Amino acid sequence: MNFLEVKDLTLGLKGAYLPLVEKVSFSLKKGQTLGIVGESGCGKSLTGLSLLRLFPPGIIPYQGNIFLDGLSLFEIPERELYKIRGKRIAIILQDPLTALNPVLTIEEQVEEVLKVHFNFSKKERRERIYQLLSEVGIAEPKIRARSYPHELSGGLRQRAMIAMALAGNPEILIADEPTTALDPTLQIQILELLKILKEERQLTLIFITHDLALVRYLADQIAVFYAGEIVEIAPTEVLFQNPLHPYTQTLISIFEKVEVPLKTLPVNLLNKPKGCRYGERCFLDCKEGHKEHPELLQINSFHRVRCWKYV
Amino acid sequence: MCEESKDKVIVEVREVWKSYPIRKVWFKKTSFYALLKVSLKIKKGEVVCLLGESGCGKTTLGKIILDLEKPDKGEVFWFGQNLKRLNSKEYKNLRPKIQAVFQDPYSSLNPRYKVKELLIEPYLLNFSSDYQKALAKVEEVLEKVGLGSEILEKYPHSLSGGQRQRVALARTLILTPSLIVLDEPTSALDVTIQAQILNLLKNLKESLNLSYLLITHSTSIALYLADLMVVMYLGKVVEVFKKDFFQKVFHHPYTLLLFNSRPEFISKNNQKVKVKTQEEIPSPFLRPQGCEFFSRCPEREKDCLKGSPDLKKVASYHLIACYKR
Repeated sequence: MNFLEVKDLTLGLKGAYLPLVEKVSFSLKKGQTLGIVGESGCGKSLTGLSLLRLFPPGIIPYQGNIFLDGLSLFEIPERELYKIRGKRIAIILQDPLTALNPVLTIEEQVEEVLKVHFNFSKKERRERIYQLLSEVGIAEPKIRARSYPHELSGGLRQRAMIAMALAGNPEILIADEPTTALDPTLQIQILELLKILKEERQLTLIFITHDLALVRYLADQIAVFYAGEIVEIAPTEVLFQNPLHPYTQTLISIFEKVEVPLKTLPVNLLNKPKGCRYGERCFLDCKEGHKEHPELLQINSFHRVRCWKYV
Repeated sequence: MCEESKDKVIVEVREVWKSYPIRKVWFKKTSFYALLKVSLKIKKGEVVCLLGESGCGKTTLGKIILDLEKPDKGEVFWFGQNLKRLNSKEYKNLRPKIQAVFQDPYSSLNPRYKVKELLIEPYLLNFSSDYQKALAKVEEVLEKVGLGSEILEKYPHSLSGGQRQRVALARTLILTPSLIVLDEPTSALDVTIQAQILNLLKNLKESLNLSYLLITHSTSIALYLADLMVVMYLGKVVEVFKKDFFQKVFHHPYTLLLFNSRPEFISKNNQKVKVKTQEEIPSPFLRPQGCEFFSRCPEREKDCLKGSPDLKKVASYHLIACYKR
């Protein structure tokens, strides 16, 4: 059975019916890594947050469900959720400077998680904090634990964030652009760390990014998002050797050489075209694409794509 | 900086030092150096790229070139004229020639101005107060950056990131500059939009014979646009080389680190990362003894601790600051 299953997840604005994430489904086995790639505003962060049943103000789920080990996350009462957030599913956010509380020390912030989820004595908690901090590669954890976020460098802050996420001993870790705010040399260090942690703790990782190179390094499976939908989902190497959707093909060629720009801007969700949402930027000019938006097609048991070309 | 040639030099900085005070304990001021003895020349039609991690002084150098910051020591020359000796009239003539595009298009445009007002303002201030002429110029420039005139009546908040960055670029082009300082022009944008802006920058450079000072930490952008690469580390220039010789020269260990720290993407197989660093960039407050890069250098030796290496000329197209090269 799949450990995490997302079924037809559709989220959108509260007042009017405007889906921002539409019919997203994927499933993951324990210990697997899913990479979510897409441009900004394509709904990848919303999908990540909704796995914790967190929604930004003004956004509600329309339909769909998320199953964690058979437990439906959207049907249990809020109180039950407290035991899951941070304990079974944890999240690392993009910018550690805004995500950490500036007036609390690192120690206090990690301790809070331990206080909520475990019955440790003060001494045990302290030891656990030092252990966590050294696990994420912070040298001299006893000194660093007492510093405030602004006193740490970017890389250390992100490590502290990861320590916080790991404090509840989660089974699923959602990493929402964990390296975007970092320098490339530090980026690779954090990626390495995530890779090691994943293996040691048997974490199921959901890695959200817009950088295909990073996702290739970590993920077993990649979902490409466009305009709130999955346009292609496949195992990593299959996607890179044989990308089917024109959008994925363009994304990959942009990385190879910068000279292939996409025409126009991403589709405006307020004003969706009648036909294929990618139609305007697509290099294929298919007839069906002008009339109707394609469904997600099952090419084979592990590869799904949303394009008329493969009907 | 690399070779003396007859090309026209637009901007030159000569051995500039810049420090920022950090804290005052009683009456004692401590400060750290953001730039140490940096020299640079930008010629007409050349793209110079400053490469380095955050906190290495790239932006400070950009600001000094723009005259937004004054150096502690050293001189800045615009078109061969020392900035310290310019009178205000001469300064006003030269000022529009050196322009900037900043990193974040969301905060660099005034949210209370319409695009039209944003674009017209620099023209009215610098050239003439003829509104109609200014408007004609604005439309001409908008076309160059690939925007339609329907955008004129909009406010920045209703534009997308790519459009905003184009407006910011149009704003500099109105003044027909010779040099544009691009401070991380695409790092706030998506990859697909990034490619559009980079293409635009390349085309504009060729059609208008512009020079750029490109400040970035992305090696792929640098390789795409730059003619001359300047690698900085902790406020010092550690390597200068021409892009054409990128494959041929024996690089500084830091340059190798920068270029190899991305996971290999293009290759058919999922390769492992070639170089790994364990250490982070040292704090500029506690400048290390000896070579600045010592703590992270994979090729370090005892001799590297004897002092900070100076930039030496290896070939006409290559300067490097390392004891081992």
